[in-house]
This record gives sequence, structure tokens and C-alpha cells, in this order.
Amino acid sequence: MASWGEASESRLIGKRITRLSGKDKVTGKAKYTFDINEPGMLYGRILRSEVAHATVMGVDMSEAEALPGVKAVIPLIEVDKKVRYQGQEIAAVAAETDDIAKDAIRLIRVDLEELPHVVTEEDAMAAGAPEIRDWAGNQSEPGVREEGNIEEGFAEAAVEVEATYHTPVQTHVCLETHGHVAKWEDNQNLTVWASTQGVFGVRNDFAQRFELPANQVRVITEHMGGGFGSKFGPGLEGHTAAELSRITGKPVKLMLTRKSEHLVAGNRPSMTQKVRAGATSDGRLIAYDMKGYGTGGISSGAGFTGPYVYYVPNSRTERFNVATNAGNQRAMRAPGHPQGAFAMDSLMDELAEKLGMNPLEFRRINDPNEVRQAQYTLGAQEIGWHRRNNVAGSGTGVKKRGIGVGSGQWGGGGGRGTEARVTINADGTVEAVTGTQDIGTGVRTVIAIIVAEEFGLDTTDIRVKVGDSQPGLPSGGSGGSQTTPSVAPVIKTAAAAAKQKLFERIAPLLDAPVADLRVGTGTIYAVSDRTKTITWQQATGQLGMESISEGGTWEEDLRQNGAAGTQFAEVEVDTQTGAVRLIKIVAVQDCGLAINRLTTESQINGGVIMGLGQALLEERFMDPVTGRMLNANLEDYKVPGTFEIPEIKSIVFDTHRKVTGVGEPPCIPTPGAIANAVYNAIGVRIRSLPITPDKVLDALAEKKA
Amino acid sequence: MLQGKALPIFNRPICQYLRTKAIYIPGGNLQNLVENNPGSHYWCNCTMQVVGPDDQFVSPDACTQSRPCFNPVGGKPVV
Repeated sequence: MASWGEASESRLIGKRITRLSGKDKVTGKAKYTFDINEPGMLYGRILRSEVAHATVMGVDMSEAEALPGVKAVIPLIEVDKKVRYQGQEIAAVAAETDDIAKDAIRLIRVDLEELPHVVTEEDAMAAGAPEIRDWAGNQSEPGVREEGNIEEGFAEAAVEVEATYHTPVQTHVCLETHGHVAKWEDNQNLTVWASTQGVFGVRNDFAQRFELPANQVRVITEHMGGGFGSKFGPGLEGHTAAELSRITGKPVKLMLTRKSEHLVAGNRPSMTQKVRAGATSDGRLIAYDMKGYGTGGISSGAGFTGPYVYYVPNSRTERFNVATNAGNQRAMRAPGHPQGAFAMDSLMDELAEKLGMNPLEFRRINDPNEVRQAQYTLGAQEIGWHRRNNVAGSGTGVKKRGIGVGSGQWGGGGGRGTEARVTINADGTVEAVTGTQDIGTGVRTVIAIIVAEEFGLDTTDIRVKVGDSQPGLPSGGSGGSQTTPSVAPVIKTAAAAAKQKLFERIAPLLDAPVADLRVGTGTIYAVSDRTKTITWQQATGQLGMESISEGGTWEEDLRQNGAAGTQFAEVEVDTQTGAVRLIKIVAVQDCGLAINRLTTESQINGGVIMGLGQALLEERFMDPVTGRMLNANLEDYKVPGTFEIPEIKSIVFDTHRKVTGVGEPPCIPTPGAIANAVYNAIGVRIRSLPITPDKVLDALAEKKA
Repeated sequence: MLQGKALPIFNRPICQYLRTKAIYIPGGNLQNLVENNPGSHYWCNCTMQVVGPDDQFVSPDACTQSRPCFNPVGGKPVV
């Protein structure tokens, strides 16, 4: 059975290793798609609709085509077809400079026949609302699930809570916007630098779109500036860049603007759920009845969890999508989970208060997950749970502090589909090649750690090549927190196979059986006779003009599904301004074997920061009158900055020696923990995210009244 | 996308242009291509929109052989 070995035997695995690309990133040497500039390259721009719902009556591109410096203008929508949201693509240009491309866009005349639009869930569901897609009343068929007997459950309940929880649409805010640089050669071969989470998926999509053999499309993603689930396919902007390049015969760069990024590059759907729940007098969650909906814009996919994490024997849930004239949702870091977790953890605290029970104790009773049970103890100690207000809002002074808790659960067990090769050259150099991509999570360094550990070398001795489809070593997209558990086992077994081959070559030299050989730090030796030791270079020198190159297999024993997490937040609420200041967040995250403890902590930090943005800052505002997004920028759409980010204590809760992905789960518990901390501070509950100063002041005023 | 995965049991023709996130990631639930999953976002690789070339919405239920743009995985059967 394959194994990562004991922690005590690991020299690198599980330690804090600086990421290999760190220096290149901070010095600007790292090349993102945005940084790619090919000789003779043209600049692409897309004209987008400012109207939320319309029929296209005509597109006149003649003035744009006549502008000096413009090399191509193409329509992206046909006459008589519908525009369904602001930002939808109308036409595109390629020009010698970005400024000329911008000017050309302004010269395209579009004749739109406006149609009635709906951009909020309430307007979309209102009687007489225009139906904007193939759902009656703009509502998809509800998904209904029932377990146990809901009536019997409520009959047994000693306390009940009825509440409505809401989370708004949140956009991904990838720091590197979506985009590509496309270059054709001889109309037969297409190279694309793509800001993507899936090099091979994008390659296949381009191949299908342009009717090319897949092996005549090369996709390169050396570095990538954030995707969070929104960068799987090429997007229309990718196909457009390639089409403009095909027409002009020149490379074309087409990156989305920040405004477009907000409008069309995906978002986390909203959630509104009305829930009634009951608990028994001894603290058992006994009944849960929830009806909810969300909007993913014109798309389906507005799902969310509930009931979540905690066991409830009797439940009924009904969920549906609401169509609005807004850009479609895309998967966003733990799709559906942060929304559901916020509602569930708020509900748990409300029930606990009605029972007169400590909310942590209430969770212990109802959470069947043993890992999280241990995390509750650890996290409570770290945050100082005993310091929370026994009576919510009972603190004195203008600024009141509170402490709250939230929970989450994820899979992250990886899957098959990665091919990799580890090569040992005669000069002692080592290469590890696979078609995965480093989307900022540090998998490049993870690969180096695994190979270096296997060979007794340093991570800087390993040349890792990822983010390129050309070597023909496929790997899946980086989504579902699946990258490391999918890639690491293959790299491990490939390195082990290469090491075995090397041992077979040098065993006669050392006059020792292969099974007796081990790697030391830069050496290979016979375990039964340490005088039989040679350096790594002496060993690889025996290869002469040959190299050893081995592939690996995805050994299921090297990874495990399931990542439990819990977080504790301490906040300070200014009762005069309504401002919520985060004091500290403790994140206890189950992750199995953390191959690189440093980047695992970074993952947790990043998840927490995204979660606190959802809790306190982020909201897409749509104008019902114009149908437009009012804050499609980074001044009015707030994301966390240094002033909003508190002390974060990331605790890598590695309970076993199998790899589990943690890209997504750390963002799940944060909003619930913060919302509960705010309640503990001020004694009024805010059931709608983000928890902004106006909501806090309104809630305090309502309480006072 | 589908490389390296065990082939799903497609018990009916699936349009090769239909897309959802699950087909891009290791261990993704390919059943999402066969049955509508209300929690999934679907798009068309021809249009890169939530509608196909015929301007009708795409999904496993909606992308059927009755649509002129339908092109099954593996190509159209030889008559």
C-alpha cells in the first residue's frame, strides 16, 4: 500500500517551505497572461450592451472598420437575437493599440429594441413580471427533499425559531482579469496564453470551437492571478481573441476590463431562505423546514446548503432558482456552502439562546463529525471562548466586543486523470512535469517538495514544469479543492518509480541489494553498511548519456476525502457608527497531510479573507430602473484591504497522513462566525449579509424602539 | 476534460457542446451532463452563453436531438 511515511521521517513534507515562485512574483519576473506581449501583437476589445434586456435590430461596424489601425471587427451576436444582461457581448475589434481598439468600440452602432427587464429577485418573482427565460414566473422547478417526519419533529420541539436569512450576489474579483493572448501559426496551430484554472479543458474547448485536432492547440498558464472557480472554459473572450487572431494572422491579447469582470465573468449567487427549526429541551436539533431561492442571473446554479453540518432527523427543504437579467453565476469558492453555513450557524445560535444553552455546547450535541468536535475545543481555547458575553450585548461602552463560532465541511479528495513524468538526468538534475496549473495555491512547490523528499534533494534542485499542455501530460482543472490530492499521488509514485530505477542501476556499483538502498541528504547509501555511500551526482553519473524518466499512478491510499473546519471570530462593534472591526479569527482547518504547511496556512488565510469580505463588505448592487450594476468597480464594490484584515490564527489540523485539498473550505465558516460574534457583541441579530454599518445602526435603533 | 476519467454511463445522447464545471475537474460529477442539476451552471461551447446557437437555453434536459444545433458526443451517427 502506498504511503507518505511517518512524519518523523519526513525532511520536507509537512514543513514550512517557501514557495518556489515567490521571488519571481514579488520582483515582477513571473509572467501572467496579462504580461505576455508577442511581436506584432494586436489588442482586442469587446463592445458590450449597456441594456439589460433587448432584441438586436442591427449592428453597424463600418465606421469602426474604417478607423486607421483597426485590423478586424467581428460581430458577437446576430440580428434578432436577444441581449439578456448588461455586459453581454455585441462585437469585438482588434487594433494596433489598445487606445485605437477603445476608439473603435465607440464607433460601432448598435440598434437595440429594449425589452422589460428584471434585475432583482423580488421584481423577477412579482406578479406580472416579464418572463425572461424558460421558467414559469422566472422560477425554476423547485427541488424538494424530505427526511424523517417534519410534523412529528416539530411536535417534539421545546423551542422554535423562524427567521429569514439573506446573502447577496458576490463577484469573484480576480485580481488578474479573465483574458487570453492567442497566436495562430499557418492556420493550423493555435497557441493560447490563458488565465485559466484548467489548461487541458481550455485546450479541448479551443480545439472543438476551431475544429482543430487537440494536439494542434497549445495552452500555457505559467502563473495565474486568481480564478476562484470562474476560469474553467475559455469564455467568449477567449474564443474571440482566437478568432481575431485567426482573421488577422497576428497575435491578439484580449483581457477583460474590471467593469466587465464584474458584469460577465461570474458571481456567487444570492440566497434568501426562510427557515423554521426546532430543538428539544435537551438540546437536540429535531426539525428543520426551509424554503429558499437565489439568483445566478440569467443562469441556473443558485444552489446552497441546508441543513448544514449538524444532524437533524426531520427536515423538509425546497429550493429554486430565480432568473434575473444579470450576468450568469459561475462556481465560486465552495459553491453554495458559505451562504448555507451563514444561515445555519446563525440559526444554531438563535436556537441555543432560546434553549438557554451555550451555543458551542449546542453544536457539540448536534455535530456528528468527530474531527470538528476536537476542533471546537482547540478553537475555543485559542479565541478565549470563556470571554464571550454570557448575555449578548451586555458589554459596556460605545464599542462592544463579541465572540462567535461557525463551521464548514468540504470534500477535496481529488480524482484520477493526471499524468506526470519525473526525470533524472545524468548530471543530477531532476525535472517533474505535469499538465496541472498553479493558480496561486503553490502546487509547483508541492510537486518540488514531494520529489525532493523522495530523492534527498532540496526543492530548488527540482525543475517543475506545469501550466503547459504541450508536453502532453494531462491533468484536470483546479476546482473543487482537487488539485493537490489529484496531482500529489501521481508525482509521488512517479518519483518513487524513478528512484527505484536509479537504485537498480547503482546497486551493483555499491555491491548492495536494491532493497538495501536508501536516500540520504544528497546521498544514496546501503542501510546495512553506511560505508557504501555515494553522492547523488556520483549515482546519476552512472547513467551516462541516458536519463531515467518515469510516470506515476493515482494511488487512492495517498489521499482522502473530507475536510472539516470550524472558525471563531472576535469583533468590536462601534454602536455609534455601526462599524464592525474584526479583532481576531481563529481558523481550525482539517486538511489531512499538509505537504507544505506554509502554503496550507496561506490557503486558510486567503479563505478567511474572502469569507470576511462576504460577511462585512461585498455586495453587487443592481439598479432596478436601468437594469445596470451600480458598483462594477473596486471603489464601490468593497473587498477586504489591510485595514479590514484582522489577526488570523490559521491552525493546520492535520490528523492523518493522506492529502486533502483545502482551497475552498476555509472561506465557509467565516461569515457565520462573524455574524454570531456581532450578535454576541450588540445583542441584535443581523440576518442579511454584508453586515454594514447602516444595518447595524438600524438594528440597534429597532431594538431601542 | 474527459481524459483520464472512467467514461460516464451516458444512457442517452449528450450534446458535445454542452458544458458545466463538473466536466473540467478531477472527480467531477459527470451525471450533471445527463440530468439537470439546479445547482449547476450550464453553457454552450459554441456560443459561450447560456443559450445555444438557436438562442434557446441549454441544459441536459433542453439540449436534445430535436434542436438543430444538437451534435452528440462522438459525432452524429452514420445513416
